[in-house]
Amino acid sequence: MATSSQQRTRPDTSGADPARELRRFHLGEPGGGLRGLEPDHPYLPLHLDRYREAGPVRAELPLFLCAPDGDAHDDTDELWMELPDLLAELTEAAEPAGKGLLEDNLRRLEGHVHRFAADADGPVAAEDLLRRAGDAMLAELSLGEEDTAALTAGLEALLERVPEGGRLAPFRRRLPLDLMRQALAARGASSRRGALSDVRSLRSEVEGLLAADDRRRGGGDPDALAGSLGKLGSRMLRSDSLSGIVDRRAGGAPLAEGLRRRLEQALETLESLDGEAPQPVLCVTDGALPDLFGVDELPGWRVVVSDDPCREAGERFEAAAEEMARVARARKLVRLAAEGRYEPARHDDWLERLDWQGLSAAELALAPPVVALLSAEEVVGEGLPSLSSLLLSGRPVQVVVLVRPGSMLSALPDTLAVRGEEPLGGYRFEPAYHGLGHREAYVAQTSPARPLHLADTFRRAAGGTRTALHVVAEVPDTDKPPGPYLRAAAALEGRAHALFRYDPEAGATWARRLDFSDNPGPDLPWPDDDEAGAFTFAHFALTEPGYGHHFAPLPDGVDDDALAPLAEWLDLSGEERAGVVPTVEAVDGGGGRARLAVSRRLALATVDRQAYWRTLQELAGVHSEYADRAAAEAREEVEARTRSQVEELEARHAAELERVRTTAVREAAERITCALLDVDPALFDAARSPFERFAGRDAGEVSRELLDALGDVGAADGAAEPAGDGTNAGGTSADSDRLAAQLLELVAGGLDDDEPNTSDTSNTSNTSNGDASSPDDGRREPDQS
Amino acid sequence: MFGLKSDWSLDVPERYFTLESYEKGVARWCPGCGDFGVLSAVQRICRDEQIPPEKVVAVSGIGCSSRFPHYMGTYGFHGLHGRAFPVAAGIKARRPDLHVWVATGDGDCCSIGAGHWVHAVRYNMDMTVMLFDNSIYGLTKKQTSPTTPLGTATNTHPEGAWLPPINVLQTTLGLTNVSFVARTVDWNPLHMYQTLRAAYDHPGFSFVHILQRCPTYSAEVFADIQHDPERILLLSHPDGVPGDPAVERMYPNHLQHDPRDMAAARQLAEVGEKVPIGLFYRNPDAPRYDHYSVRGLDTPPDERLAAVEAELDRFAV
Repeated sequence: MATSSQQRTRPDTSGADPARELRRFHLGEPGGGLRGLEPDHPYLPLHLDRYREAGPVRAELPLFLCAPDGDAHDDTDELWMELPDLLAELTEAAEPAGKGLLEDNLRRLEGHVHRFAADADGPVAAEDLLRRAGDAMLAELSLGEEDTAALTAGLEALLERVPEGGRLAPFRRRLPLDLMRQALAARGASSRRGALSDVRSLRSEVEGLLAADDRRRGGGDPDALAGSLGKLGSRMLRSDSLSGIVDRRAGGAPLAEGLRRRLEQALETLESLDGEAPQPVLCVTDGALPDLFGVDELPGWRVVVSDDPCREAGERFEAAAEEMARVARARKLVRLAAEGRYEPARHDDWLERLDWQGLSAAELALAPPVVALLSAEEVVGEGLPSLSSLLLSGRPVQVVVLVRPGSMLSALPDTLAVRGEEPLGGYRFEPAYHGLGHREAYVAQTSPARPLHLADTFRRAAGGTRTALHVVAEVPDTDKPPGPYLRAAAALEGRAHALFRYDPEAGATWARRLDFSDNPGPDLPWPDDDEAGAFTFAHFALTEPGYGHHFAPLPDGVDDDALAPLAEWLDLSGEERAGVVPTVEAVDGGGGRARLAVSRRLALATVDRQAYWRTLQELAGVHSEYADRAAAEAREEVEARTRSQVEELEARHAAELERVRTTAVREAAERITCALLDVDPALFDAARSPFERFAGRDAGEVSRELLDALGDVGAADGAAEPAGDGTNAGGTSADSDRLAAQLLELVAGGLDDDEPNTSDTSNTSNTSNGDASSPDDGRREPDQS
Repeated sequence: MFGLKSDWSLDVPERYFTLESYEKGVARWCPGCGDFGVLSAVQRICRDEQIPPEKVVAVSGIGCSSRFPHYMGTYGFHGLHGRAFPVAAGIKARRPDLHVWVATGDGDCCSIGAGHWVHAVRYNMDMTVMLFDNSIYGLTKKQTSPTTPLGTATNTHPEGAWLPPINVLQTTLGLTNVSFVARTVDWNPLHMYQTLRAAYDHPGFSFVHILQRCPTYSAEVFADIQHDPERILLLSHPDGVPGDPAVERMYPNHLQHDPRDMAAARQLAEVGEKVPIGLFYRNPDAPRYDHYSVRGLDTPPDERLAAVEAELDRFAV
């Protein structure tokens, strides 16, 4: 039913066939009466409407970042933490008096943290932020003196436990770089500490070697000689005189000149290393920082401006790596010399040829990390060959490509842009998929909307020794509802920006290498909501201002048969789609629900997104054609087997039923008779059973006849009345046998409707049942019983 | 969806209430009186549920425990002897948005107010009733009450009570449309809190029999079961009073009792060697009178006035 709001926004198509106008809009025919939405339209997908007026929402942000130079940073959990977890952990330490109050108000405190973090441009000191939030909370609560004191004590205890140097990273445009810096700073922190400790030890070694060589080269040392003479020797000999006589080369030959010189150079190299973590290098194009992040400087980065950031990054890495190779050569030389294994002929050439590819991850961690930052537009422009070269080089450089999930990237910008065509007219270029083609590079597509995925992606890449390409969704720069976070999250839900990580070292198969975790509904075509249904690419597009003209409110009078929800439209075949316009459910700014028609171009772009998603699903092993086929075959086989078993059981059941139908009554009659007359069942030989006549007959009818027959027997021999316990009360065994024989005779003959019973007992009166009107011929009509 | 936590909203009520918000004055009961614990438990429940104080009303009759409303920083009504129930029912009928707590004693409820007790149970209006049973008239200095044990010497019966006491739970469980009956003891604050909380959560007339010590006049009545945990039978069930490890450790005797089983509840309510505590009976589907009494409450005053005038016009000459 149309809401008032819906009616307000409905277009005026009076005078035109609304169905025809709708079709014209859908097909994009010019001159139609139905116009698309303006870029600043108020509509949101039904799924997002509940968040339209909501304040801060609880997600993974703001993210707590531990001080990167602290201990144990190779562990992800120690590197970053979600705010609710942090607050819960810190609250544990609160004073008992204030703990309850603090726990009751953690959500309130969290809300204040969100509000203060929203004002920050980048990571801010967690302790300061929490203190401000705590103060705001105290002011808001207006508690009594005692409670205020208790809560203040609790807050202080909480603040004392905030890890030193910890920061809170808000959802800001530069969040990816903040997390990258965190990952790089922590990159092999323990490895670097180990390497530096090793360097210090080698420096001592080489200093010792050179000092010993000095002693060998110089004159004898009288003091050292006195020490070696001992107490008695010193009394007898004068060490100063003796030192002039003793052979100066005692204790071994001095080092060869060449080796000594090389050791001195090695010492110089090792001494040049300091303990400070190297500052990461960020290669960007001119103007990229203001464009991408709205800033001119990035604290904590050494920014290098270049026309070609990828090439620049490669060269910067080469330079840094050469330096690290020099250090590695020095370390190896010193170690060989200290162990006395150094052979110039054997080792010099090897040491000379040692480059960064021969370095361990720990040795590479000593070099300043290098990052190239590009926008997706730069990549699809002139940056593509450089990016490809870098990915193929294997140099452990991080490449971050920022992409707007709502933008239509085309690898042929000139042709399409010049012609001014609708960007949805082509297929979207996927930088990450392009990166997968380089096979041996670490490739990830991630988003600040999943900061833990983003951070973990960076951590893995930073700890590796491969070129890494990170295609990261840009943080939308808008406060328009539903806000930047939810818009970024909508891109993930609408498959505009799927999450994945491709790590060539993760296994031998694609499914192992491609990590598909953290995607919403990874095994579904689209994420599904119980109330609002599937959330498709078109739903995401409705949150993007640039796509407004692809939606139009339905005009009045459109037949419902000509419409289909987009998720259902996608399941139709090409022919079936022809007469149907896809729609999405939306809500306008006033809360009025509306059904919006979707243009064919956008619908086909949704098809394209779905196809790409399916490709990724297959690569990640979520769906496999072969596995599905095998599963279907196995299922068919099991179903066929089950069907056959069911049929066999049904046949057996039918046969058994038939058997029971034909024999049960007879058997029942035999058993009743045996029980009532205490007769041996052996009397009823199946082959000659007088009860055969009962087979297949109605049980009620037989019962009545049997009762009649039994009544006849009782009347025939009143002296042998059956007792309640089934025995013949007062009768003898001979009486019983006789009675049984009579009964058999009665049953065999007396119940035969066709042949009147002619035996002696047939004349026995049946008055025992009190029916005086019964014919006195030993038989009764069944209906008289 | 959208990477949000299941409890995604950070909207919190603007006001926050502490225990202080529900406190008023200094409670004047004898030192060691069990009423202090009950008062504290109710204030805690209000705090934990963050009920605005102006949405709470405590109603009582006459007796020591009936001073309860004076110590709650909420609305209160200290009524007439035995008349707590009709007052509470009236409040609930006109102001269904209020949370009504009724404090009544063994004399107030089971003697002079017994008639109201019967019908209040049957009406099943949404309120939490706490019967403070100290087995004595304490406020008037130790007279025999309807629950004074047989043979207990009092000022009215110095040789000991002549008649056996009324069985509060048996009586309540015997009433039509009963919907919630529980028992707790004042010397176990945790169990009392959990029981009262369950009663508060129950939609309907929740009757909680509290065995409450009077240190001045009936100190010995509950001494045996207080000092011998073996005498207590702890009723437990997933639908009963939520279990707590500390309480379960304290009382070694446990019984799984389904609170939907009226027959078993009545059997348990019989006096025996062990005193069961916990939830005896609960029927959340019992019809509630307040569902009917709210009708017409939202009628605007002018419409009401017009209706009255229209009615009066019928008699105009």
